[in-house]
Amino acid sequence: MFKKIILLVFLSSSLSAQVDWFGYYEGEGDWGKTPDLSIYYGYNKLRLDMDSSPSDNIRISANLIYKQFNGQTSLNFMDFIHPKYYPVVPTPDGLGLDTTSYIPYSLTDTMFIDNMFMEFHHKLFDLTLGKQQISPGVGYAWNPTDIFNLKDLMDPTYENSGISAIKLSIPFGYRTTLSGILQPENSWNETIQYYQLKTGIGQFDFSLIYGKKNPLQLIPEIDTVLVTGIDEYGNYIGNIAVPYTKYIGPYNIPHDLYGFNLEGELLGIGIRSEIATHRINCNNDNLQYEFVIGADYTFVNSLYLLTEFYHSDLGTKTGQTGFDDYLVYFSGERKSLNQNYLFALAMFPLGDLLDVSAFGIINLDDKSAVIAPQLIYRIFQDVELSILGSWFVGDNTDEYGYQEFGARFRIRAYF
Amino acid sequence: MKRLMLFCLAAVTSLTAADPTGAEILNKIIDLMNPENAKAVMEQTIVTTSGDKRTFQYETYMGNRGESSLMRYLEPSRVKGNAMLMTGFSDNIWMYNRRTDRVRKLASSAKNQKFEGSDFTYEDMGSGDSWKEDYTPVLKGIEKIDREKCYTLELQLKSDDNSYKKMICFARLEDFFPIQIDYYDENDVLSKSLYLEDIQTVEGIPTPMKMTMSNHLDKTETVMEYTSITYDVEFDKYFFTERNLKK
Repeated sequence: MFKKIILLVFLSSSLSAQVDWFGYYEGEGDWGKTPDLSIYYGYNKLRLDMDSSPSDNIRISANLIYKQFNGQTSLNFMDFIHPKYYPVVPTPDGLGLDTTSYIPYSLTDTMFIDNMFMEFHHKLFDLTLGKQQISPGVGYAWNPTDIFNLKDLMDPTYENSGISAIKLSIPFGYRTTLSGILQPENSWNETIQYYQLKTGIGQFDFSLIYGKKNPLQLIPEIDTVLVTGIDEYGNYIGNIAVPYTKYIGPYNIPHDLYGFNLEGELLGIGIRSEIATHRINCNNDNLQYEFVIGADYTFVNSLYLLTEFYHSDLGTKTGQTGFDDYLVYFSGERKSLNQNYLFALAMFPLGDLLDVSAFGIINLDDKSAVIAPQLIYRIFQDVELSILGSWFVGDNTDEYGYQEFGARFRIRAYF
Repeated sequence: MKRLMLFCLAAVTSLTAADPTGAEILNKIIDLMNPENAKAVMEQTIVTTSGDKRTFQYETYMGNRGESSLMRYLEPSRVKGNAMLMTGFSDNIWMYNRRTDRVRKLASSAKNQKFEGSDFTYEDMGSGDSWKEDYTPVLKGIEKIDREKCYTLELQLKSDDNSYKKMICFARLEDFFPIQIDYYDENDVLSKSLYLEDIQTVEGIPTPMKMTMSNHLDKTETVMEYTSITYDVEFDKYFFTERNLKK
């Protein structure tokens, strides 16, 4: 880590131009309640940015993040899932099956360089090299055409981690731009490629997108294990083959994305839509569709309303959800657990210092939901406090039904 | 009583045939307020309801007689690097967030919202030439404002697609430069007043170095002051585009 700090200092001192230093401190506390336990954890985060423009056409920027966790930093992944979904695995002796109820993960203090890039602007193109923000898509809660980032539905506007990539944008006229992004991986075959042609007509901006990735993934496969069969009277009845999910690989899974984005307005109503068609060569060559369509409107009294409907063929249908689906969802390989969701947000400024808002996410498949009111108070010019509550509704086995309540307290001070 | 009547007569002078029409005055006001191009650094101070002062600094570029503008925040660090692009006299508004590198297009319903918590709306920042299309100018008379003789020009809304039902501009007789604009909301209540002060001639163009927007309903105030300004600037024809917004 010392090397990273040295690198930042070296970068800044080696530039003849003036270097701007700025950033923020963020403190957060999170609390969640499930039927069996109450979980608390929090963190202190420091983000230190440096930014410099050695010439009119070049910008160099980097930021360092230090994050220190507190509270319950050793957590069990399974605490957030109903026991119905606990996976069944063979016992170590291979003679039986057992239920996995403990998959640990820990929140460890970390320091890393989140973004570090150079922008080069030429009359004919813009080139960005390095770890940078890449945020494709126009949706607020979901971005089906974004193959780079994971979005937290409870905090969709929070900044993403930087993506190590090369980005080239070539403008054509006022509103047309062709962009290409390469995210290098172990080999060219695994390198993520993303191309976007964006243009505008009247009140609308459109994008055509092609993306390609080939990640290494473990493939779930149903296998059987022979277990000792005992009848209801305790008599041995021979070995019985019992199915369970095992993972094979990892294998490269080619994934092509064909997308379309639209952003504009109709009669004063903001319209946003993303459509993504996926061709994933896992077990079949079928096309799978994912889309979001949304609208927003600001009333004269400053009340702001936003809503989005999201559908994904990649999610599971009602009643077919299993542990693998949770695993794939939490790992970010897909953007939803099930297939159909609704997001709604209402926000209203109470004076010039306080915003009140509430959002809801509804899983339209299992009919569970989370409702989250929020207060944002700008205490001073560069200090912002937010308090969020969350109330989960649904059956215990539903996506939003297992957790009961949650709360988040966050303070951010910029410097 | 007699003295008061004399004062009133002096304050509101009758119009003569030699006076320009409302449309002519509006044209001159718009020409003065929207020079061909401009580049400036501005400081914006908001006096909040709690009495605190919040200061923003940004660089601003205006082109095509106010049809296009681009603003980029320099201070404070909370918004540093964020930018806003307006084209078509604020018909199209794009906001850029530097921390997330995300550009968002605002719907026109957001035009009447406060710009970064100030007493200026997005619409106030970029209306420019659109007053000619949206309002009917009616010359009401001549009044003294701050010891200056001014034309009192009332702008009456033609249709409902603007947040101000009426505006009254007080433009100096000597050069038609407006020194005060009163904004009336949909209920015909005086909601805000813009005071243009410290008018200096910069590169041959009269420039209000200080503009104060007083919100009479919220009891708040926003002051915008030029730190530097030049009109001697040419922009590339693709300057006011999303590409430049992200630089």
